[in-house]
Amino acid sequence: MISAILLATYALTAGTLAAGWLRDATWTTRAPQLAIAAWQALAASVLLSLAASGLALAISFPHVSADLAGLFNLCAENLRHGYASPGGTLTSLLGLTLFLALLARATWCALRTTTADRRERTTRVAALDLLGRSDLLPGALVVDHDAPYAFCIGGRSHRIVVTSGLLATLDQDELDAVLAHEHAHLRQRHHLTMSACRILFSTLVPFFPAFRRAMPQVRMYAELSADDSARRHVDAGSLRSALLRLACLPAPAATLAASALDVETRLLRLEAPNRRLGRGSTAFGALGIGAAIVVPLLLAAGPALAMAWEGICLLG
Amino acid sequence: MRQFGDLEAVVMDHLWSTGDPLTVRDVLARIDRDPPLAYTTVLTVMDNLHRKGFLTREKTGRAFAYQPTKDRAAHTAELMHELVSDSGDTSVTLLRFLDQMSPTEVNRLKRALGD
Repeated sequence: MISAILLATYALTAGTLAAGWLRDATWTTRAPQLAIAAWQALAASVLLSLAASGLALAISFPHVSADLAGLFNLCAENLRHGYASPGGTLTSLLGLTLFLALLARATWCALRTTTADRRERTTRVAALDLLGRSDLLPGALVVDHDAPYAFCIGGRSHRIVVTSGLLATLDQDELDAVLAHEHAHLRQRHHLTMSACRILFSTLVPFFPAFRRAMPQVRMYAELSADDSARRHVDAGSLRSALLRLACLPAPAATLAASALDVETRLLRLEAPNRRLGRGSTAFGALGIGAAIVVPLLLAAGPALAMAWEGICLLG
Repeated sequence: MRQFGDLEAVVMDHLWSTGDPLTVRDVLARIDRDPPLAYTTVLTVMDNLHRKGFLTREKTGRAFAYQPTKDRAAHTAELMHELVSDSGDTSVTLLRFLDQMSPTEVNRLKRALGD
């Protein structure tokens, strides 16, 4: 019982307080990749501890250990006490329900995301291949369209696409910067990162609203990360002027509410030399990410570990 | 496989630039390749395009005459609109260099930049 309560408390704290802290953290723009990993680890940690909490309750089912006899009898008996919960069968069923419901929701979110992604990727790549020209720019498709757009579609048959409007708007250096940015997305496999994030966050959103803001944030971090990578190959000033030129154009039908703050953040970062998070802070962050995964596992295995430590199970 | 994709683009280019319905034999005659493509290859490509909804066809005599469902510009405009306005709620495969901003946001950005 005690480990189930600890795990549930941990999940609640991580899903509200820790998520709120990460959402408002300011170090994230200096270490975008770490920030993405932190969001993923936090979500995985909440999911893991909630599922383990349900499982810990379910284990206390009175009949589970009844069949174990002989050598392991004492051990099983002790284990049962370690996880035992008042309320018996009812509590156990509740735990089992929680566990299965979480598993079902995670599976459903994963299937929905992956099938939607695959379908859209295939149809879009097929249409872009018919409409775009591949002989104008090396490594990119050029689509004849007035509005200046640049984007990439990740996956096995990945594409970088720019419009003729973009070619007309940017000079050569700016265009190279934009292409370097898109190549960075593909190299860093951001489509996979975003898929994993969507699965994790959409599983949790109904229970923890703090994860609602997580997806726009990791999208933004993916852009920052691609900017960082691009400026190692091209001049940061060119990337900045491309961004500025495209951001201030009147949008024909702005159905998307991109925020000025995000663009401003990117522009400001490109103005100065890249101020990355220090080595110490980065290591500390990585440690935190590891802890987010290990702590729920330790809490779940707590009673069993404690008994092993005391040697009860070894005595048989 | 990629080769097939290239052929689809070539076939569509011919149909888009001609404007008239073309049979497989018409298209084959317009494609200048050495060695020449097999009739069945072009037939397969056009059948695929029809199945994917890019072409409509109508029986003329013994063969089908194919025509694009939409002209190139309309098709492009539609696809670009779809790609730019996708909020990423269903798909996350698309990564844009820059999301479109509303005029209010553009003004806010300009103010922030001190213009």
